Amino acid sequence: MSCLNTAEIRARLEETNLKQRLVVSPLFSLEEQTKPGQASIDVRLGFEFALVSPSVVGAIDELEAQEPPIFANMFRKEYVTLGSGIVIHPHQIMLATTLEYIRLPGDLMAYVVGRSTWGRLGLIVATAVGIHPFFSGSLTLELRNLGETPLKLYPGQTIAQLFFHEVNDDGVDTSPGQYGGTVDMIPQRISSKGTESKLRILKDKFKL
Amino acid sequence: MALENARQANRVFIARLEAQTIGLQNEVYPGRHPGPYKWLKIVRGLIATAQGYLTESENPAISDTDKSKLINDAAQIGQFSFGKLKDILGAEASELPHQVIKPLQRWLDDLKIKETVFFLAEHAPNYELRIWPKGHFSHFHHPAQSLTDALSEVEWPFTRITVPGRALGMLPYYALVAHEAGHAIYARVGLDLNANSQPQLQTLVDRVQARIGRSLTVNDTALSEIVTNWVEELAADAIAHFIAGPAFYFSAFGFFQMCTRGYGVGTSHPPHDLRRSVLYEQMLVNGAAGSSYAEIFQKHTGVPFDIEINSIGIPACSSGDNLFAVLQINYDVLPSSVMTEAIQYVTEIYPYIFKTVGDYLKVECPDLIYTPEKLDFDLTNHLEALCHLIPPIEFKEAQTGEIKPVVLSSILNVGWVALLTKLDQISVQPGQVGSIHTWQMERLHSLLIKAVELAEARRTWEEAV
Repeated sequence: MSCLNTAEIRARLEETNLKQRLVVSPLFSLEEQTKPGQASIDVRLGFEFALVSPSVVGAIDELEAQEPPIFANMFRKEYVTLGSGIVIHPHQIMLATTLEYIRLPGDLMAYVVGRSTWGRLGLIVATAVGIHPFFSGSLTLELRNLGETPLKLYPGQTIAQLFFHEVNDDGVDTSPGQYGGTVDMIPQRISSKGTESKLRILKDKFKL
Repeated sequence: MALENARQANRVFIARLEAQTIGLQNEVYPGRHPGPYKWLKIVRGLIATAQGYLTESENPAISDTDKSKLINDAAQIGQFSFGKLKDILGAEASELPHQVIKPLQRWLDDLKIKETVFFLAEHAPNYELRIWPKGHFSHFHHPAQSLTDALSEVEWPFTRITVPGRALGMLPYYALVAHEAGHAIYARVGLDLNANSQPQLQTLVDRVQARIGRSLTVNDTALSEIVTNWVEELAADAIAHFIAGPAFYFSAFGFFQMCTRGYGVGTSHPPHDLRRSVLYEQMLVNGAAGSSYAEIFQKHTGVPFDIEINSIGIPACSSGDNLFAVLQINYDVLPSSVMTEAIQYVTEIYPYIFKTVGDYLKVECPDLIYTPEKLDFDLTNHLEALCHLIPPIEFKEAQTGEIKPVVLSSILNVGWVALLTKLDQISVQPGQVGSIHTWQMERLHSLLIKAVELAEARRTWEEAV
């Protein structure tokens, strides 16, 4: 499986056919963010953050929670403007977004990978690394400081890289917008409706 | 003892007020806009002034009468300060989207509005401009130094722009802020009705006299107030039209249809359909490239841009005796007759208002003027793209090939055209609860908010040199 090189990525960003166009916008510095030989796009840290805050929730249990589970009250949101910063403390988890709006055409998927510089400082950037074709929106990043030193993060810092792969046409007509979108970074549900209702039935059936 | 008790009671109130204000100062206001913080700093100065009065009331060298007066004055200043906190209720980040504040402030900056501003969202269908002159806060005999300092940090008058909040806080309608900005610069436009509409003004007086059966002069208070108010409204509409183009037309009359009833006529505002008809004429005027807004709209959408495109519910205002009879239900004979006859007057002088506004803006802020050519460019670059979930964040400049951020007026216009003609093409995730149109609208709204946020981010980044 080959990966798009820098020239191919740039060509996709310039694609006039809207269906085929790759959108990563705004790129404050095309040269810096798509360096030749890098075969990826550097993306920057966005403005919205969600911090896990103390709550009355005992445990995240999708089958015990109301339907659908509301995770919003487990997070406190912060909006940080360009020029301001936010500190992630050791062992803290924080949700963030990419500054860039991303829209993948139907024949591309991507992986998001944290920059090694951050990794060496203890910051893990993303765990849900695969981005489906047709995704549109700002990416949610799950930041975790595994180091022993607080890290101050500034919107606009390059935080991760996107690597792109072409997806073979499987003949299935998938509509744009089926995946992702500009949605809240806080998760809405854990399982699909079907899986969740099946699990509830099973839980009731085998309740001790 | 009574004096001491009164003093203590006030101290408790002032202390609680101070704690409340400090709490508000620690809030994050949308976009960390400086306006709310400057307002709260004034309130802290007022509180310090009240505390100073209470301290002075303990001076053994002054009489009990003076002590009592100082305590009363401190209480009055406390109440005044409390009221100033109410004036800022709704400016918090929970009420206003962070993303829109800097772009709106940029609009005001580009219009050379130097006054200190804060924005506020109200749970009501209301766009409003309110100003406070410096004298409102500086009439105290012994202001605290912190009050003097806080007042010196403000460009006066302190200006507040109110927009609707919550469900009514819809991005495309923010074009109406351009109308409120129009009020803020109205005095600078240089309209001179006495010099430029004397015959029409005299005709208005003659018609009102005939209707009420007594003599009147052009300086009559009711007449001049109504005429002044109506002309200012139409001038603010014209300013908004020059800045925001059709987005203001769609916003204004869509909003009036949605949120008001009746003709919209009053001593402060001319009827909605009059405002709409004079602005619609501008939609039909050819731009420099030979096409009008209406023609460009139809070229890109296939949909005719008729006068009622999104405001079919605005009723045609009655005229003559019928209108006069309707107005008399709520107004006296004189204002009713002035309003009835002023419709013809403002229609006649509107070309003068429009030209004067245009001439002013072309000199003061030519880059801010929206044109049919810009609409054509914006729709070519962004309308179809928006239907493919690509928000109008940036564009490639034709001459230089440079990538530039899209301006707010362009985002609003593309957003409105998509909202009116392309909503069914906005794809949404399947399986959502509720009507698909709701989710299409929500997605369009979030795409436009994202465009506003990221275009502004790009601009801010480029300005950091």
